[in-house]
Amino acid sequence: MHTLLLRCLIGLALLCGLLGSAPAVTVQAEHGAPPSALQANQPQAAAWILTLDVSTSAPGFYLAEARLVDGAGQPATAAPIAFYEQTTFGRLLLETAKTNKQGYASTEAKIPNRTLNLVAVYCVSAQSCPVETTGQLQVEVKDNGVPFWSRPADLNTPYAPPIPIALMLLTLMGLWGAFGFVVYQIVRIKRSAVKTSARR
Amino acid sequence: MEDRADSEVLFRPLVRSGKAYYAFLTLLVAVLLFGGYAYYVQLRDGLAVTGLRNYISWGMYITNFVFFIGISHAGTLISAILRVTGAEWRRPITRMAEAITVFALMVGAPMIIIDMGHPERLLNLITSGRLQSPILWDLISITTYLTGSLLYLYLPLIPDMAACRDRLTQVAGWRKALYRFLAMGWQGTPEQKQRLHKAVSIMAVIIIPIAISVHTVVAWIFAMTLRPGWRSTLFGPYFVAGAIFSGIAALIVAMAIFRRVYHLEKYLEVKHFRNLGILLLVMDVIYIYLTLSEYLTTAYTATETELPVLAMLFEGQFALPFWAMIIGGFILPALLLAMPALIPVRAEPAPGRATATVPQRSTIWRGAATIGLGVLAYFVNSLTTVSADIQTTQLWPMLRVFSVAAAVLALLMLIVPVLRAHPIATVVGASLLINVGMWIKRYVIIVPTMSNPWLPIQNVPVEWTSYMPTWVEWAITAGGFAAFILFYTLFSRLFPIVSMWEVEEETKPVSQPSTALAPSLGD
Repeated sequence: MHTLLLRCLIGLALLCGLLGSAPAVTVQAEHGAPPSALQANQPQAAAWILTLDVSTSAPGFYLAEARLVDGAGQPATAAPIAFYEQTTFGRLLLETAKTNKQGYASTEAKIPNRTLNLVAVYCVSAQSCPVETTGQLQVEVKDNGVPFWSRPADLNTPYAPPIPIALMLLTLMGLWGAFGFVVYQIVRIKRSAVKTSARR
Repeated sequence: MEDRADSEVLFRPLVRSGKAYYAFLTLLVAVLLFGGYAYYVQLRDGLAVTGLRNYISWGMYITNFVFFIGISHAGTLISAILRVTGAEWRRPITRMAEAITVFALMVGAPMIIIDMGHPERLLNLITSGRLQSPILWDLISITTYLTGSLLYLYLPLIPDMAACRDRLTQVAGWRKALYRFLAMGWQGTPEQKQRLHKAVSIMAVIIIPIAISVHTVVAWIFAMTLRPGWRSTLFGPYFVAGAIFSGIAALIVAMAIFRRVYHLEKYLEVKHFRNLGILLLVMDVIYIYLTLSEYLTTAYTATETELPVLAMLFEGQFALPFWAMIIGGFILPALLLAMPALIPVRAEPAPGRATATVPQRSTIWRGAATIGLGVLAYFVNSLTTVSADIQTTQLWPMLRVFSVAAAVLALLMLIVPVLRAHPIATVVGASLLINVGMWIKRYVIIVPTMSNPWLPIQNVPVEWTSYMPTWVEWAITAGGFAAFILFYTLFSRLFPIVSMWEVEEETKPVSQPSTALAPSLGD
């Protein structure tokens, strides 16, 4: 049974590799929803199988749980699993945790974005990382809920808040109006010189 | 007739240029061209030729920007504030101050464009700018400030342009045309004077809040960014105080140079340096207080994100410039400025009394204090010979600072008579130290914070994790300073660097109108 499952997974991995895309199972989680949901299971080596579950643990927090088993399905103990967040600028190391007797390693942190892309990697040494897997978590906001990733409203609104901007523009208009008045005085200085010359 | 002879010295730089002047000009142009070449290299090859990278994207250019915006405050403080408060001694120095403002802005503002890498992206601020962004506020306030400063520089120039138009008949035709155009037909009629006073008074009042807003907005660009070391409610006033502080220092240096090169001893007297020295000391003390407040509150709370920045500053990569700035840029100038005034002057001997054999009480005190401080410094420094373990105690850094301070104080006590004998050199020396210190201050505000982003720096080459300016940045910086000095030098060769009509007004009877605000408002 284990061998069959393993073969299926290897076949799936090879297929994905050929197609150049990874299957991502997205879970729609809500605030306070119980831990659930497998995200993706994408082993890349036959000797080890690494799975990653990402779920919300408490409002605003996620729990990433990775499980490492060997080819025979036996859990790996005390194996270091590195958790990364996949960002636009590359991978950001979140934490390295060791697996327990059941092969589980986990990390918990605040959800930084609406969509969280995690990567769990098992490395035997600095040069050799036989297996890695990805997981994703998307979080929806309830209408009556306050988004925990929200920033001050003025940073999110597409348009500037009208009252402060109106005050700012009024001040600017006042200043540039004063400049205009000063320039007008210079013009009057010039005109008075013309008048005096004409009188003479 | 006497007035005419007096003002000859002010006209002389406008008509005579020696070999030294042209040699100096050539040097400045050469440095400027080298800076221009460096900028061409940067435009051609991109920001990769600088030390700036993804994480540390602000470095020397932004340091220069904040520094030049800072010294631009010289014009505001000296000219506007002193004009509004009716301080009469300001008259010979107002134009120098106002010119610093304009040229510092002209050099400082483009530093942002240079830092952007792609200058054409400045248009994005206009086409896609968000009014919520302090960057756009900065663009608006600097544009307003530059316009206001140009007007404020030009207004008091009008009567002097008329004097140049009437008296400089031997200069080139284009200069005659320039003077004629800028003089605006000035004839000194009562109506013209009244309008000029009104315009100057308005500008003097409104330029002060504009100048304060400019540096506050510059501070907000930092303080409104979620970065350790920058998020501080103190930053607005801290930057404004720093700007006024460095502005006065820059003005004093400029005054000393013009005094010496153009022989303006009659106009720029010791009292001007002394008065500005007092202002500088006051601002120095305020700035030390604000610096202490800034770092003490941050260090006391010692949050996880702030600590790496503080560690870098106090004992890490930036410890040398940081402590050099604190001691050499703030504390030493304060001592230089304060000590000649604080140490009692030796009393003049009574007539007929022999002084050679009887030392004065003040001399004894000073000698005793000097020896005491010197012994103290030596004692603390020699503690390590008694026990090397003392270096491992937490008290040791404080003891070292204490011993250095004692040694410096002892040295200053020794040279107090020299400082007192050369008041101008003392104030100028302190000002130079302050200018260097304030440039370093801007550098250590920017780079250590950029080196410690909220998210740790990962997956990049190791050389990207720290910042070291390249020759391109040094060359552009040198070019910026050369441009500033060049503009200033050319200005002083085209226009009187001392406001002649304002100085004349000071010497005339009280019946003449004053440029102070109060009489003008009564017009």
